[in-house]
Amino acid sequence: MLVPEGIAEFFAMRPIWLHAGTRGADLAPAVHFANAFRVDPERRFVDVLVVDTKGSRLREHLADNGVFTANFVQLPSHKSYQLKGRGEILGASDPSVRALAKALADENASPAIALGFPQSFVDKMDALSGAPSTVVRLHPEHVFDQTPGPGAGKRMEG
Amino acid sequence: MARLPEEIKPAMQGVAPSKLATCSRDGVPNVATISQVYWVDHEHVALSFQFFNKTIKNVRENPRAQAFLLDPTTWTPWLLDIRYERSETEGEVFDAMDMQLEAIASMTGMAGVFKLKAADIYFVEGVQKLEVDPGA
Repeated sequence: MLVPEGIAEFFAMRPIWLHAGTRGADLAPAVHFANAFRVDPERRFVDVLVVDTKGSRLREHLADNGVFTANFVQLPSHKSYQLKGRGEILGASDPSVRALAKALADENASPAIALGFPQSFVDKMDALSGAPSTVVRLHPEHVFDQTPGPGAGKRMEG
Repeated sequence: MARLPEEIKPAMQGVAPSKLATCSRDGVPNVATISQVYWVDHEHVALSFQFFNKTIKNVRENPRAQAFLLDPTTWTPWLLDIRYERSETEGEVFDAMDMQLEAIASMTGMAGVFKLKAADIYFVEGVQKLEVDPGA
């Protein structure tokens, strides 16, 4: 499916943060910190930059089953969406890809401070924007509205 | 078996939202924001059950989950491998979480949306302080 046109505006809002999810052959789930994303102009896929951490099972999980999800949250609206589908590893991040993470950290900084996040948080996110990461291309099969409330979980049309 | 260290406690104050990954019986993972990860003892945490959503459905099918927490004093991330054991709808843990949830809802503009249905108790199977290379 295509990324729904209706959430294109959401992806442009700041601050926005994201995490990814995978699972192993044993159905044990894993959550991964991600520091940037880019949406294909044709809305066919979303590239997610997953920060490399010691002991990460990202590659093992994707090699086993390829199932990948990305959860996006924006404040202060609390709007949240989750894209679920197939994850394809494009490779390790290079300087041009890390520039995406730096840009997102910079764009998030002022609105995060305005929301009451301390400077130490902004500094940490800025530091992590330079961290080695793995670029995963997410080919969405389902998209869900996860905005908190009893309506969370509604499936969206592509 | 893992033992929760005391140094993880600031990450459980509800200051920074946490994430929870779960997985359905048919193998589809789900990542959601959770309002609370509450320290029960050195081997257990409690998560708030507010709505019957995908997270709740998944852990009742497949009890394995992984939580991502941020320490708001250092912004150090933690990962907890946890296993759902039971739900409590009354008692000391439930009452404490209910009070804390009201405060979190008030601070985050979600008063009237957050309502504790149960305190879901999880056994802690693994604890990891995430090590990230800050890079260039």
